[in-house]
Amino acid sequence: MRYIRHQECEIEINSNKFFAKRATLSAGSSVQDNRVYGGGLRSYSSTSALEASVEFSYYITGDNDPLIALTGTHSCTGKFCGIEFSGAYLTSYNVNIAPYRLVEFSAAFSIYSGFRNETQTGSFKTDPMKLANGAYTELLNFNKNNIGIDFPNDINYRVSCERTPNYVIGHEYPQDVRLGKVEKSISVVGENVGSIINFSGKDFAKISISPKNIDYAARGQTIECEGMISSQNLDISSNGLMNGSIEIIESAR
Amino acid sequence: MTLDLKNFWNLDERDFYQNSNNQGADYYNSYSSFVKNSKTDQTLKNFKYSNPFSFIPSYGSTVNIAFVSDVNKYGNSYFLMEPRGLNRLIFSLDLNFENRSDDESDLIIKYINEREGALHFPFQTLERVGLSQQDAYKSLYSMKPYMVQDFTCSKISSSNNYVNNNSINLQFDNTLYSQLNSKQIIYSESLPSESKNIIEEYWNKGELDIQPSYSLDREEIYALKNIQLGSSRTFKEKNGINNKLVSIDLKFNAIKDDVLLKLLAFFISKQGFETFQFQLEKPEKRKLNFYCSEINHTFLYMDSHDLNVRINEVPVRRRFFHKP
Repeated sequence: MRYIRHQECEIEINSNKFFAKRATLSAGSSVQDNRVYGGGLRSYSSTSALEASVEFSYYITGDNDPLIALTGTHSCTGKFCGIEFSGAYLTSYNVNIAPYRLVEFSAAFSIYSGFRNETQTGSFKTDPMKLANGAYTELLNFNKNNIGIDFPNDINYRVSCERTPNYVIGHEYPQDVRLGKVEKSISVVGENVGSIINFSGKDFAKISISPKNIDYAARGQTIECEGMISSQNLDISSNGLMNGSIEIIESAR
Repeated sequence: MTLDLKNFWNLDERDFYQNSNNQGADYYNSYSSFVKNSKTDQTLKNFKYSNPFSFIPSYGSTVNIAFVSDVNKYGNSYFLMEPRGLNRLIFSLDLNFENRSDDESDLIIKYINEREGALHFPFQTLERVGLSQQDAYKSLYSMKPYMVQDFTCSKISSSNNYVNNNSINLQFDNTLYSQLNSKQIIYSESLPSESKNIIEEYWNKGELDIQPSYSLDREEIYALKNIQLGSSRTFKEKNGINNKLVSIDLKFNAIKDDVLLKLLAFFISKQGFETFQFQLEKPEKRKLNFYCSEINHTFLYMDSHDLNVRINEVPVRRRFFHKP
């Protein structure tokens, strides 16, 4: 096997190629040794299904992000450097936004139908100047009156989708995969936190984030969140300024 | 309900085996013909159940096989397992249906409710019609390797896990097997020769040669006479010549299909009556006679099973004169 460079490693979901910054494919079996009474080794055997996943962080190069549509019940197919997989379900979707930095997206999938083929190289190029940037990203209702924070300098948006496979006797792969809870959350770091919440949290007006590039062109759909402020933190240290951070949660399903 | 004592088993017809669906030279034309011949025919004919239970359970489901016996105790810790009649074999399934959709859960519960606990139904996940002759034996399985298909359901419990996600637990029972046909729990003549050879070999073995998994827990209780005179201290005295008999929980963890079949053949053939030898390792390395009265099997995953059996030492070995 020869070395494969970053620009030769294609990441593909539902035939859409992604400009991935980092990517990880992992597969773990439950195989265990079977040492028997008297000291002999009977065999190695697995007691549960293969746990496989693909995770990658990426930059959006078009107007829309096709992955945001995968938070529902649909599965997807994909390729990781030529290794094909199907029966993949989105389990986590993240967006990281910071001033004057590229807006970084990341996604994680659980794979329930195994892998095919071996690694094989491709190529993918894009113009980095056209990627979404935190400085040009539009934020709506991110202010002290609404969420208690001014001048947000780090925003992390997460969607987690609970997936429960339905394995039946005699089959390697699940009969189907049930969608459980879908939860959105946003953590915002900025200045101040407003009035401190009590045990019941605090509601707020809907907030939205529209990632844009330097030309103010959309890079990914507008992200919206409408839920409760579940936690707040204030911290300060010597020779520093007070920082605030809040955590917002929304139950989407 | 009227019990027809002259025709108690009434093998001629069953609601789930309609003669009209089983006509033709290559079919078992009646339920009676199906019951009598399906396990003994080398070439399995066609047969079609009406509306069998065909939902496949989830991993984690268990099978329990128990042999009911009366124990006659004699002096010196001698005892005899007396089979309680011919129909002393209890085959039960504890089936889990995990993470099922609302639609599938509805169908499962509706199917079971229609039988009201007392009506028999077939549990068959693969129909005979459509299978090649080579694969025909698969239609006799409820869950491989068990060729038991006639059940009643005595208990149902369910849980709504989340939106469109339910878990159901069903208890299936079969008491139709006896000392005479216990082999048919796992055996039919239409099985592939490799499986038949395994069953034949282990059906007749007198010594357990498949080692269990660690840990192996022994329980040894001394048989004592406790004597108390008035308000005196209890005086303990050795009771007879076999004053310490060993009980062991054998655990065969994560075993493969072929090992499972060997062990099932071995333990079912003994029927909780016949004894077998098993060698204990150090400390106290020795070969003893045991009997096994209950088998518990859990489906872990593909080609992976847990089998637990409780074995008890007996002072004297017992063998069947004739084993079916």
